[in-house]
Amino acid sequence: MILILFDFVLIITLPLLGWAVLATEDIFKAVVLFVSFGLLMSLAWVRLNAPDVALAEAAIGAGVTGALFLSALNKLERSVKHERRINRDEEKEAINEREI
Amino acid sequence: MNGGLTGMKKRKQSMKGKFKRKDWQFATLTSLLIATLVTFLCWAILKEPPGEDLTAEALAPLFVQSGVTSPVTAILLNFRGYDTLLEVMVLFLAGLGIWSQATVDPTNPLVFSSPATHPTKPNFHGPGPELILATLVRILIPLMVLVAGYLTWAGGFQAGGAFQGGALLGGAGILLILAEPQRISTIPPALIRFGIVLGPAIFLLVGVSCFGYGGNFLQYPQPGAGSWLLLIEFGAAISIGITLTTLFVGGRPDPKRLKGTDQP
Amino acid sequence: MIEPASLAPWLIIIPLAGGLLAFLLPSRSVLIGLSATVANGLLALAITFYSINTIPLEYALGGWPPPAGILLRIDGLTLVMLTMTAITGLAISIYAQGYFPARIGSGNGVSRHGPQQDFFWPLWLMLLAGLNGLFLAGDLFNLYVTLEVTALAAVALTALSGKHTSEVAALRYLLVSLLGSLSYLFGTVLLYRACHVLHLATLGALIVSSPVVWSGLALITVGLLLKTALFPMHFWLPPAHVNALTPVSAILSALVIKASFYLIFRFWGDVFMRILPLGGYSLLGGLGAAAVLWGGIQALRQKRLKMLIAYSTVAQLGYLFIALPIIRHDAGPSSRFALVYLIISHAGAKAAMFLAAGNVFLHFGHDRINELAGVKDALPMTSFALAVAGVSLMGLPPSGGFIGKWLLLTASFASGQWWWGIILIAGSLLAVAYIYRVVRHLFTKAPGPSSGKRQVARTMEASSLFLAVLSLVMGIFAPLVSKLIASDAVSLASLLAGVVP
Repeated sequence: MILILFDFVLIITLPLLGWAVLATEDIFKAVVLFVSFGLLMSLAWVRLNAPDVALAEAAIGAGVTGALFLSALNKLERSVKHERRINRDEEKEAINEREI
Repeated sequence: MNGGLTGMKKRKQSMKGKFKRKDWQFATLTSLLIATLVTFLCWAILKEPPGEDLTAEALAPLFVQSGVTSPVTAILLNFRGYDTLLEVMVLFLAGLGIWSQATVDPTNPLVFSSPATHPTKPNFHGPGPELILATLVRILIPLMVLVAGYLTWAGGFQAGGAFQGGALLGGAGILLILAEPQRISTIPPALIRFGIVLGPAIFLLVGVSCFGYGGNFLQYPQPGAGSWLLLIEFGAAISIGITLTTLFVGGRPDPKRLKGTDQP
Repeated sequence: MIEPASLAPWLIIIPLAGGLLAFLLPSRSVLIGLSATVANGLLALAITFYSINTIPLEYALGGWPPPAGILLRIDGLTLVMLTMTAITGLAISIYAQGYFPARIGSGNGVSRHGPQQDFFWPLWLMLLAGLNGLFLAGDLFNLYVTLEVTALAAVALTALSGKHTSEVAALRYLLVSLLGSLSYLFGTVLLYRACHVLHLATLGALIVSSPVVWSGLALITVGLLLKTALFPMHFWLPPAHVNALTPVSAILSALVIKASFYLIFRFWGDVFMRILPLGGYSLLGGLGAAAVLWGGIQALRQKRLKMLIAYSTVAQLGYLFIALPIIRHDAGPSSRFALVYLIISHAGAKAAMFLAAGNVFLHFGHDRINELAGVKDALPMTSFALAVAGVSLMGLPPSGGFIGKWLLLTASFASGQWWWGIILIAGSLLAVAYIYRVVRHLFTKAPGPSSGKRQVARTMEASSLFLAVLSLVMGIFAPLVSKLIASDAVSLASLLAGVVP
């Protein structure tokens, strides 16, 4: 009985979390929600009798992917701050190189 | 990746996206579509019971020959080992793709530790994030490596295996890089390349050597199949760990810059 | 006597090993890449030669029989696709071997094109391994994995040029491709739930219509359609193919697109033909017709040569889809033969056109169609290659394109579905129009002296010419190809009767 309740909570929360990831305006918040989505997904895999996948999901989906997203987000924010400098450099590059 | 980053310059300055009305319309339409699809699928699946499981019946007597006791590992590495070989190659491709895109400045490997905000010589002896991280790393990394090794070995008889152990190793690598980003420049790139290639190469070599034992590709010789599988798993775990770490670093080592790392 | 089936896994092992080696030893990547491609070509020809009388063959990976293990399956269509990939890939590799030094030698791209060359070869070899694995696969989930290998390698190759436009196009390609793969995977899961086998031949014999099966097949098909850029899901194709490096454009247009179409042909024309509804075939044909017309009209409007060629790909893919309902209603193997001919001649002609366009760009520094005067004098082999490839795309005899279109035309009128024939004719007229746009400039004289423009290496021109001529004289392979396809028809008949092989 308690397992059915647990499943029910998972089924409700997972799509809500997914919706929240897509609907938040702040990307950092979205990444954090994505990590928590990954952790809940890992619980869902356990309930589906797939402990191997649960381990992999927790480590990769929540851990490594979260770190990757945060690292990419940092690099993005840096590059946006240097926007003007990059703009000028890219113009120079575009004039020098004709590419196909 | 640099090109993609410069592409972001066209976007607004703030990292907050603004949702317009048509975004909400699109979102509602897509959700309705997906909801209909899911409901239809649920109805279709619940309507008819699954048929007789031919695959399970065929597999049941074969598990003893697979060399491992965990059915998941048996299928993953023995019966359908070819799929796993290709999946390991997919991870290698991911690393290859990331490396083909950008180089990483070894004096500034993570970009967010620029000389302006972080000293080039981190202070491991005074208070601050570097000290905490360094202590944590000193305790955690050996534990993580140990647990990763155990997970890889334990895949033979319970949940675990190469991907799980490799993911843990990847996490350990990421932690190391976060703690001491300057270390990246001291690792010879050839070693990193070797580490990335090691897992897929071992898998491929084991598969080819099965020809020598008179079998098909990836047909392990019967009595010792378990040890072959273990060899593949450990190689794959190491490679997966190193590949995930290089994915996090986000670029290949820059051969020209490496020579000048000693200069301030 | 060599057992041809035992050679099959080497078609995957050699490119994989080559990819790993080329990554490990970047200084030797050109040598490794070329030798692996040559070895792959020889292997493909050897397998075709040895197994032509004994197909279909199966090879059990790991020694496990289905449904426990994965099977590689060699039949006529597989051999044709493998040989096409091998020969086209070899020609493109020879071109690429000259291309990167030409870009490096152009002076302003040393720092960029060196690493591009180092990474092109391992990525191309992995793509080759994925393609070979896809054509050889006889297992539904294995096909998903090979689709992933192919798609990831193709995306990385697309982004290789490093330009902002390529990055955007590659990201779009990646997302569309991933959506397609996910849809395919979901469909596979549903089919597995219905039948509990993954082996294609057994699946085809055992499958019965039910809502789960319909959903599974629909999801699989939609996923593959996304990857094959059928109208209206073709939006990702022109930017991705145009902005890539020249050899990559050729690889994408000639080979990668054919891989997912091969799967659609495999499922709709072979494995699941028994239970798929006739309306589905007509729908695919209708979308193909729209692609033919839309691609042709867009190609007419393009100012750049490479964009024109990319939209031509969209149109030519439409022909392939129009062939599906014709095949469904055709009793004999002639329309299947026609479709296969269209596939292989388009591969050769499209690769030749992209390579020739690359030569033109290297020489002139741009590819604006209106300013291409003088190509004939500067690059005679290249302009000849462009013209000859255009002949095959238009469908003039004796090219492979003509054979395919002619057979499809006669089959469509014979089976009473005359509307497909009308679309074929309209598409050919559009092709004549846009090819003429290009070829017209080949015969005008250059306004000024052509000094100061770069010379293009002989090997690069020759490989483009070789592919174009090959697609022109494709007719000489007709007996071989028809024998391969006809032997498929025998095994197909038993499959349609529901006999488990």
